[in-house]
Amino acid sequence: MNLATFTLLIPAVILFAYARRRGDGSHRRGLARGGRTLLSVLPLLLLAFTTIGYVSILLPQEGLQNWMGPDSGWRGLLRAQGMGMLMPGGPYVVLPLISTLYQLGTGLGATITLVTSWSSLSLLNALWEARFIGWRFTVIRWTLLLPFPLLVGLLAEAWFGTTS
Amino acid sequence: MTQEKVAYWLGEGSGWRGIFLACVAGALIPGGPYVYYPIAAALLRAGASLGVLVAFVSAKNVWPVVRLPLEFALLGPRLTVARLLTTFLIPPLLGFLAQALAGRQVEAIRENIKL
Repeated sequence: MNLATFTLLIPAVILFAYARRRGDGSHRRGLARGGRTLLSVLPLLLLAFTTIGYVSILLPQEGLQNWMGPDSGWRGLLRAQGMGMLMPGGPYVVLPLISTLYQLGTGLGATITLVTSWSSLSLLNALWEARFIGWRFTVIRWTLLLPFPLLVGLLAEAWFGTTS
Repeated sequence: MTQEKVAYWLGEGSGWRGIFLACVAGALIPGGPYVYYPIAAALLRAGASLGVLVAFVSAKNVWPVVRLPLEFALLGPRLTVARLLTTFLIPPLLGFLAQALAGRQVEAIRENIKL
């Protein structure tokens, strides 16, 4: 069993056991709801993993390493920040893609910049934010946050080194 | 929640305490943008300050507790720990900066919220 399965198995087993102990059928309802969520996101996941498969086959590994690899420096981090802003979708779609890129050779700092940029500066997310809270808020938050994904990548490389 | 309670805990006068509460709430709240942005908009309308709201959204973005097991599983312990440590100060710092630099914009933002 790999680390990914094991890490996700632990909370699932603990919550199942807790729900069963309540004795009101919540363990069955939880499974049913999880199953419905899985069915509703299945088409999205199939498309996302098809894309990930082709990215890992078609993307020249050497090119990726020059672009965002451990020796790509601050330019690599800047590219990672730009790419993170353009990544659409939630964690179940984007994190497997970032994990594939990481295995193909993006550096530690660039990967952290990528996660931070996608989760906080994603343009799709900015649209949701502007829709609910307004453009003025989005512009303020976005502008203040703009330097941080790059800084976080630099800090991570200084503390933890550049390689995975 | 009543307006007075929101104003006391999360309003202009709540200072670091309000920003800290917003960071914890943002880290713990599950769900996508269609869940937390309406909640954020409602809090702002009820009297939360700009800094508190920026801290809430930033904590949801960089410290999301429900995303951590997946991140840990896919990217491994070293990268997850490095990311958490390097982004640790972002939500409170950003909340504080937003309040100090643009806090007065809050009325204009509040007026334009349509719930």
